[in-house]
Amino acid sequence: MRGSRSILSWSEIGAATGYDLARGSLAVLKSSNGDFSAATTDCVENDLTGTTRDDADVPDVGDGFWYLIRAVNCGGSATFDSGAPSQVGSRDAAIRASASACP
Amino acid sequence: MKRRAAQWRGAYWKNGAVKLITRNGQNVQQAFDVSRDGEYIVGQSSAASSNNAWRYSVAANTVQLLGSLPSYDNALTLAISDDHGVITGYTTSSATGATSPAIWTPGLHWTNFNTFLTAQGVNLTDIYPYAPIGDVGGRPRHHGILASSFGDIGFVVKTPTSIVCHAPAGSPTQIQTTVVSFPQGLNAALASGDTLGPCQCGATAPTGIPTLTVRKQPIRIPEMDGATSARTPVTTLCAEAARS
Repeated sequence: MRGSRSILSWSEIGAATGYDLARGSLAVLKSSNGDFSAATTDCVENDLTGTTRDDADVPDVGDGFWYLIRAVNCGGSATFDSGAPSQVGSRDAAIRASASACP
Repeated sequence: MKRRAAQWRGAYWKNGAVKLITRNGQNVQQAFDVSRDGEYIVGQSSAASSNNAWRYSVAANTVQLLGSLPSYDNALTLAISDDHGVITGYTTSSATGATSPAIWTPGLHWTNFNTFLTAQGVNLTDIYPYAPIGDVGGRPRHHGILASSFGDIGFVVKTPTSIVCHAPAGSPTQIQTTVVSFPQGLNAALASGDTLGPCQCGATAPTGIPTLTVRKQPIRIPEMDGATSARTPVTTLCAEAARS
């Protein structure tokens, strides 16, 4: 939807001092059978302290964005995984392998 | 015939006259360096300076004590920067004979130079900087002598920045390792409660998973008569698609 910004918000995690927000292409994620190393395009935020973020970027026509959020503190990062038993494999290693991964 | 032991006294020459530098009516030990503008003089500690290294302001005619390190009872301030804000030297212990290089800024106070370097990530294994003798042209460069397994060699430390552990105001638990300028940024950071060196983390990584919500901002489309109205997009991006 060109010209329309996305408003992202997330729930606060008690032990977190910040959040990493990753973004990628839904089309690539689908065509790669869920390969997040290929589908991750941006680390939108690294160690963001708030719990909201506007995204003025828009995907290409016919594509869409996916977003993933993880909590961080000085002890390290949590996970990009959903925790749901239906999830196949961990996203963390794949996103870390992406050239656009959050540090 | 009895001879009196020689005593070193701090003094300076100005406008053709020599003046002794005193604190509380006592002569301080010898002076070692003067700032480029002649406004500040630094010198050796003594009883007159309570065993502190000192900085003398010519204009104010006051001796400022720079502090001392625990278990050390003698300090030499060998050099002062052009802006008077950085002083280097060394400190010794008459009891143990130990010697440590030292650095002073208004924020650092009189600090072990090895401690300062280690906090900035410098690996001092097998080397031991001693007797740093000051800066060049007022810039934060410290020349000195470096004892190492290769022998005594000269060294230059360039310190345009410093690493501190920063805690934002009102958020003392959200510590963050931060790089600041040296020495002004470092002084300001330490004065506001930051600590020298990178943050030491005692926390474990969080385990919770935030719930992410994405919504689209309604688009305002101009009407023919110049008014605007809000219309909700007919399509929305689905963040949850990638979360399951």
